[in-house]
Order: sequence, then C-alpha cells, then structure tokens
Amino acid sequence: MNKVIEVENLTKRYGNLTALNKFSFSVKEGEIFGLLGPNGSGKTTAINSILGLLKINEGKIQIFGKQMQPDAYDIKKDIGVILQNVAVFDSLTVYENIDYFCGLYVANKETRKKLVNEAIKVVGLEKYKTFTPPKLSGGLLRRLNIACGIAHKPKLLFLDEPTVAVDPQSRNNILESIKKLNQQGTTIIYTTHYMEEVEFLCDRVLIIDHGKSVAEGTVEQLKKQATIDEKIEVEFDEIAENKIAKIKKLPNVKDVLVEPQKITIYFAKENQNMTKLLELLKKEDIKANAVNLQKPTLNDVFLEITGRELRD
Amino acid sequence: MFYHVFKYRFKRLLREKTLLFWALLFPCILATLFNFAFSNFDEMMVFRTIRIGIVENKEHEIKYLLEDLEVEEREIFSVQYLSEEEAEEELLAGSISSYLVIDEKLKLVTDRSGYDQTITKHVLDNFLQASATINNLMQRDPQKANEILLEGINLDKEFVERDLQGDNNIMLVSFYSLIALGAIYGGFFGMKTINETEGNLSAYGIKHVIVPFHKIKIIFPSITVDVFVQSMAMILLVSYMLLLGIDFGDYLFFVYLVAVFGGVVGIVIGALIGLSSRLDAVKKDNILSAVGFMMAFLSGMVIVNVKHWVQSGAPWLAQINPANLITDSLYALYYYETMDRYYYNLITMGLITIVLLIVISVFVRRRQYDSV
Ligand SMILES: Nc1ncnc2c1ncn2[C@@H]1O[C@H](COP(=O)(O)OP(=O)(O)OP(=O)(O)O)[C@@H](O)[C@H]1O
Ligand SMILES: [Mg+2]
Repeated sequence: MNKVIEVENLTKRYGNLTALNKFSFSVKEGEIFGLLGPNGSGKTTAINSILGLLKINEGKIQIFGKQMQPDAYDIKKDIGVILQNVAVFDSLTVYENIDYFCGLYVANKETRKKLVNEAIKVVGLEKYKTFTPPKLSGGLLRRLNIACGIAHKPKLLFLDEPTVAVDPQSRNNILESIKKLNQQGTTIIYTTHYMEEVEFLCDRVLIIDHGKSVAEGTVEQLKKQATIDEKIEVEFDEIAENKIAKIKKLPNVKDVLVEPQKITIYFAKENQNMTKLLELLKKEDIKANAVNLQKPTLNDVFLEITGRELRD
Repeated sequence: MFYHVFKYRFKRLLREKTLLFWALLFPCILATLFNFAFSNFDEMMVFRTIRIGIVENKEHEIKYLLEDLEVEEREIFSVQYLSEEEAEEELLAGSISSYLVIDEKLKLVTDRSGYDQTITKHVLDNFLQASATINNLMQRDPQKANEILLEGINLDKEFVERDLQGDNNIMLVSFYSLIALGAIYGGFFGMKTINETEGNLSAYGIKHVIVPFHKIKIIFPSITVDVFVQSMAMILLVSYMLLLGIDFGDYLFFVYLVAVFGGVVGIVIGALIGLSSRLDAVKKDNILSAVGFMMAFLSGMVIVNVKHWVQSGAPWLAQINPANLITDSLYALYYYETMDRYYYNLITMGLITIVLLIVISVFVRRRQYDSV
C-alpha cells in the first residue's frame, strides 16, 4: 500500500516549549489513522505542521509522495481539513457555507451543486439547508463544519477532535459519516482523546504524549502491549480479609484493588482466569453480587506507558 | 474564483448588522446629532473682534463694509490701513490675522487657517456674491436695481450680517471631520478581511491558507467588496449631510471624491491594525474605534479649534493624520479659491496609502506562521 503521509523527525518549538519532539509516523492509503493523546500532547500542532501552516524547526513531511510546502498546490487540492475550532460564517446558510468552501476547490457550478448536496446528505443536514449557524445546536454545527471540509471530495482528510462537546446522536452521525467516507476511499487522520472513538474507527493508532510517539499499531496490537490481559471486578455485600488473601494467591494474579464492597483483580495473559476465579468463589462460599470481566482498554495501555490516565 | 469569493463576501457584509451599523448608520446618526446641537449653538456664539489689515491700492466700497459690520452691536472687524510690507510684517507678528489687498481684484492674504480667517473669507465671499447679484440686476433691469439701492445702500452689509448671525459655517469643520470619521471606520471592513485570511488570526484564516492557491486570491476580491461597500457608505453619508443642509460649496464631485478616497484609506488603516497583533477581533475593533475617534478629534470633530491648534502646534501631525487630511481637503474646497491645497492633501493621502500598502504586503505574503 502507498504511503499517503510520511513524517520524519518532526520537531516544532513554540519559544522554549517543544510541542513536537522528533515525531515520526506514516499513514497508508485508505486507512483511518488515529492520533490519540491527552490535551496539549501536540495533536493539533502535528496537523498544522503537516499542512504547511507552521514553520517547523526540523523534519521532513511528504504527502502523496511529494515534499509538502506552502505552495504545493497540487497536494493541497486533494486535502480536506476539519479544524478543532468551528469555522463557518454566521451570516451564510448551511447550504451557502458548504458551497463557499467547496467553491475554493471546485469552480464548476453544476458539479458543485451536486457535491454540496452530497455533503449535506453525508452529515444528515437535509432539513437544515436554509438555517444559519446561530440557529443550529452544537452537534449540528459540528456536522456543518465537517460538511464544509468534505464537500470537495478530498483524497486525504484531517479531522481534529470533531466530536468535542457533541450530543450522542450527532456523535454517532459523525462517526458513521467518517466510516462512510473512508469506505468511499478517503484516507483519514483522526485526532481525539476519546479511546472509544479510536477503537470504533481506526485501523491504526498512534499514541502521542508530550510531542512524542509512545506507541503505534492496530488497536489489537496496542492492547497486546499491555502486560495485563483481563480485569475482573467482583462485587459483594461483605468479604473477609483472609478470603481476599486467597484470591490474591490465585495463579496469574498481578494485582488486586480493594474497595468497599468491590475488588478488582488484574490477571496476566493466560487462559481460564475467570474459571479459576469462579471455582474459588464457590469453594470458599463467597457470595458475589456481580462478576464483570473487562478486556484492557487503550486507556490501560496509556496508563502503563506513561503512568497517567488519558483523560484528566 | 474572484467572482465566487466576491459574491459570498458581499452577501455576508450585507447581512452583518453590527458592521453595517458602524460603517453606515453610526456616522449618519452622529451627523443628525451634530446638526441638532449646532442649530442651537449659533445663538450662543459670541463674535470677537477680528483684526485685519487693508492694503489700499485702489478705492473700493468694501472697506466701508468691513469697518461697519456689526453683529449684535459689536464690531466684527478692526481695520488697519497698511502698506503691503507693513501688512506682511504685522501678519508675521500675528497682530493681524489676515490682510486684504485691494487692486483690480480683491486678494485676501493669510498664512494660516483658523476661526478668524474663516470668518473674514466668508464675509468677503458673501460680499462678492451680493454685489455680483446687484451688478447682474443692473444690467438686466436697471430700474429695479436702482430701487433696491435707493432703499438702502446697506444692502451688502445687511446681507453679510444676516448671514453671519445665522451662520453655522464655523461648524462645517465638525461635519467635515465627521466624514473623516466615517472614512476611517471603513477600517472595520479591512480589518475583517485580514482577520479572515491570516492563518494566525482565526480558524477562517487557516481555512483560507490551506486552499490550493495563494491567499491573495481571497484577499483581493474581499478588499474589492470592502471598497465597494465603503464607497457606498461614504456617498450615503455625504448625501445625507447635504439633505441636512450642510454646505459643501460648489464642487460636489470633489467632495464625493475625497470622501470615497478617504474611505479607501480607512480600509487600509483597518487592515494594518488587523495585522499588527494577535489580539482577538473584538479588542481590535475597539482599538480601531478609538484610533478613528482620536484622528477625527484631532481634525476638529468635537472642538473645531483643535484642528487649528494641531495645525499650528504640531504641523507634522496634521500632515500625517488621515482624518485631518480629509477634513482639510473639504475645508480647502469650501474656503479657498484654488484647488492646490485640496490636491496637496489628496496626494499626501495617496502617499500614506502606498506606504501602508507596502507594509501590509510584507505581512500578507506570508504563508507560514511561527504559531497559529
Ligand atoms: N500558539 C501556541 N503558542 C505557544 N504554545 C502553544 C501554541 N499552540 C499550542 N501550544 C502548546 O503546544 C503544546 C501542544 O499543543 P496542541 O494544541 O498541539 O495540543 P493538542 O494535542 O492539540 O491538545 P488539545 O487536545 O487540547 O487540542 C501544548 O503544550 C500547548 O500549550
Ligand atoms: Mg488540539
């Protein structure tokens, strides 16, 4: 597969602050690539650097196999960008906004009409064509913002946290639209600090922290990097100390977190952890109200690598 | 592309109420308020005696007029008869504000503009106008003219006195600098264009920098819209003042010309303020409001004499203050016989615009930023 984006040793400093530190990654044609990182980790800076908007201190950026530069117009014509901050005009209607931004890429009026209507359909704003942005809810506004960036059918699409402060219905709509665009062949870079979105959308993920790449791979690969395999929560009315000690002695147990009326047991990768736990509970006559098994999340991966939670 | 950007930018401006308020309505509202205030102001005006010189190379009836002219039983002029050399010295010393040379024609000489000079010039103009009317009448209808002259030889005097009493021409400078204010407020348009096209100023800016062509292709049609709308605003303002009865003299075309050109200067100033820092748009709007008001104030908008004080105290400031150049152009158009001063002001405005445009273009050429 062709590499659509190739970033090597990208370093960007704002004064004394190093926002990106020898940051490298590549994106393959046709994939949804997730940039996952906490607030201030450098996601937006990375995107703006790749777009040629920022003067970078060091590094090499290639898009479609060509050197990215501010005047690389043949590259820029195939790029779509949905910024973290909504940028639509309050005095133009939904339709006019999309038509305006699309018109910066597509001159032909007839073609554009078709494209604009398609974009409206993708984000599900058919009923709101003549509304102006101040009359749209936060979620609909985000959808309009997306429509403005996708109408010209870019081959490469950047989405910078497009679901921040969005209601669940719009969030689902947005995630579905992105999947649809990807199925139609658009390569997508998606930044977020919601791991659920990454798990739902992304073929490959890069975890960024303090401007550095800390892990990269498919969601499955990343989860395998985690040394824990399973988390099992057991809820009780009460439990005796000596029985907790017995649980701790089960094979493969890495750690046990004890809370009032609940313990969480972390198991290393192994088969039959659950079976062994249930057998013990039965044998010791421990009355559990609930037993939940959880697979590790990207958050656990992040926690292990950085010692911090992904979300504050 | 030009048409596409032009069309949407135009649509947007027409729909943006706050912007239109400041650019179009606000100056008109101020003009209405000024007009209201000044219509009561005349009565409060107290004329002081103006010291002038007369160089009499030839007998002329105007000297009696100047000697006798009174408003509310106070003499308006105190006249000294002098030789041309003496008159020049007195003028330099400042003991007279101007002197009149009576030859085949009348010539008023002064070295500065101010309240006294304005009145003197005004009186002369009115006198000439009145006597021209009578001369005209003499030729067409000598009998009628004789009747009028018999009724009172003081016709000219009365005419001038009446005119002075009901005169708010002194206040014209205020209205002229109000036009200057309206012109500078065109900066709101220019500032908006810059804010929307510079990547480090807004998200719109980023969107306009990542397009597959240079952002100048967005800026140019946007500024064209700005100039168009601002010109309309200026034409509206001048026309509205004419409706209010403000006197601009006889050269209306040149009045409109300097108003429209002033509007362009305003747009350029706004663009520069827009580029000057990364403060948010609202703060920059406030800066432009303040800057525009200050410029207009210095050109005599609130206190007419401020214009004259600046002109004598800090001539360089008067020379580079675009609002003053606009006000002064209109003033010169009204009070001076020749167009020299008008053109001089217009050319200075042109030069200022070119300098500002050069500075602006240095910024606007950028396509990459240290931070956005
Ligand atoms: N214009 C700027 N000037 C100075 N520092 C900046 C600027 N923009 C970002 N930074 C700093 O650079 C670092 C990376 O910021 P960036 O916006 O790229 O992070 P992010 O991952 O996009 O965060 P978020 O999730 O909040 O959007 C942060 O520490 C931030 O404070
Ligand atoms: Mg960000």
